[in-house]
Amino acid sequence: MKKILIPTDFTVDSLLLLRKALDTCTDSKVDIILVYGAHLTSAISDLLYYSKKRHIENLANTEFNEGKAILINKYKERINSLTIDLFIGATQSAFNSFIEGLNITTIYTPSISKKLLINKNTGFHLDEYFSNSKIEIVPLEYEISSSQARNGLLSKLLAS
Amino acid sequence: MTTQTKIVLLLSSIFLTYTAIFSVFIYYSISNYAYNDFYKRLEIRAITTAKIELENVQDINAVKEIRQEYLEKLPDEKIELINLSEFNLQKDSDKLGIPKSFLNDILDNERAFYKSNETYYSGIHYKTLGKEYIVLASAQNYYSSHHIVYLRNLLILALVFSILLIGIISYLFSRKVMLPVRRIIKEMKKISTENLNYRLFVPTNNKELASLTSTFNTMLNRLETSFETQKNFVSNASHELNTPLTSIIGEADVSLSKTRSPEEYIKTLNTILAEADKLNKKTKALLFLAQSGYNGKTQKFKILRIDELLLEVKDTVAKIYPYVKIKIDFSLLPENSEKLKIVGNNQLLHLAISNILLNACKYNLDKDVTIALAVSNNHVLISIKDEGIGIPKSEITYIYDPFFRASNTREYEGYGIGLPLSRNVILQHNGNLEISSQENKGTTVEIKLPTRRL
Repeated sequence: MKKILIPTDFTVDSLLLLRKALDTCTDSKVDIILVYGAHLTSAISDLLYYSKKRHIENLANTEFNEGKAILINKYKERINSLTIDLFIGATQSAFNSFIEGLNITTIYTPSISKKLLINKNTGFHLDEYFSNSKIEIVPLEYEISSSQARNGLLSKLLAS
Repeated sequence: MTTQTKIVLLLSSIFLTYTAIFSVFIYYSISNYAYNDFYKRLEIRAITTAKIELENVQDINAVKEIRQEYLEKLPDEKIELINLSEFNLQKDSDKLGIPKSFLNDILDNERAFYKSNETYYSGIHYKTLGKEYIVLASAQNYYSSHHIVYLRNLLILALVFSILLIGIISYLFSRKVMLPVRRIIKEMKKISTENLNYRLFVPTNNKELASLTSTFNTMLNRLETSFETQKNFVSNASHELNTPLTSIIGEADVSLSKTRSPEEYIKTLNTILAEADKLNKKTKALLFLAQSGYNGKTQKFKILRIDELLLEVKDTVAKIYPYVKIKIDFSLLPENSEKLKIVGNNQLLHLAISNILLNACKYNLDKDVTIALAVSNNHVLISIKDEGIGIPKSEITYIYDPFFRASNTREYEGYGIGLPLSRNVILQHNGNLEISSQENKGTTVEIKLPTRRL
């Protein structure tokens, strides 16, 4: 089974990438990992009680979760599993072993780099790591227009 | 009688009965105790006297001393010694002014007590040195009779005071109990048909009143919806029916202005027929929407499929605005149709969604309207999007107020009833209505309804 990696910025817009990836991908069933490059705190007390689950919960808002649930409902038959993961390394080799550990086969990413709205305080762009890895990369068209049509959770998911 | 008076009376009578029973009990036990105590004192005097008068000389001094030291003289104290060898029942009882039965009691039971007026008698049967005597001690019970009267007066006085005190306390208590009720009544009086959107404050610290106020609020919700449904109909009908009527009248007027050929009459009649048909459809659709969801059978919340409802709504609206293109986007529909089921009132939801869709069509400037549907884990989301005149940014906070109309809607007829009504219905279904809009670019309304819990 294909296991694909899609970068996310925890906005509903970024879920469009997931939708497009599923539309592009021909496999009948896929495992999907949404990845976010996150800065790890440097405080020793925070690290002591660090939980990846809680970190992800803090980053994802209800609108994002709702949108994710809509897409899971829509592609119920095709999505074998959908998980969110954080990449907290800082080197290319760390990224390589990250995708090796997860058994990623393909990366779906916006064709233009640094298009995702990543908050500099909490995370970083993964585009460079993507392009330097030896995994197959599928570029997706990803354009966020700021028009009125983009208000509301549903219209964001529909805009394509 | 007001509940407050009832509470005062009830509380007072309960406390009063309790206090009265308590006082009577105390009065009787104390007076009983006083009598018994006095008889015992008399008896001690009788015994000591008998000992002094009749016993051996040796111990007498000690007894005398004790008697003088510890037993004070009672008022009107008398002690009689009757030697039984000289005893004559009739004679002695007459001489001492006491009944024979009392003397007989002494002989039978070794001791007996008797009371006549304020004088108390205590008698014992005393045997010494082979002789038998009856010793009688009598005295006035001055102390206890006076003490008892004092006690009685004290209790009555205390009872009078407690009536006063209880009355005041129960009055204050009843006031405190009835205060929130009075407050609710005051608030209720403010509500009339003009401000049905007003709701009572639900108190958090009183369960009964909270359920009362929330029940009343739910009733207001239903009333408001029914009222607004009617107003909505009038508002819609007044301008939606006008247009086809005007064109029918105009068409007929023009063709009647002079004699025309049969072809021209046929053409005119066809136009009139088409307009009348439209009018008929519109009237039916509007009447359908005017049925309040609360009449008899349809009142209950049922399980319904939201996609079917949307299609029905689209049909209804298409009858009223036949020239607007309404697109339904089902591309985000879930694969499992079970997820499309919600619990709700079909009629009311139909009304709510069609109102929003009607607005979208009305202010749309002949562009397309898109309806989309999606289901997340807990919610059904419906988005209705138009590319019409939009809502000015500064006015978006007022759009839920009844009778509010945005400043850019002057050219469109309407009363500002539809949206508040829709929102009311959605809220009654525990849903949520969100509007985002940009002036002259369009409006997106997103409705969120909870899915059926399995």
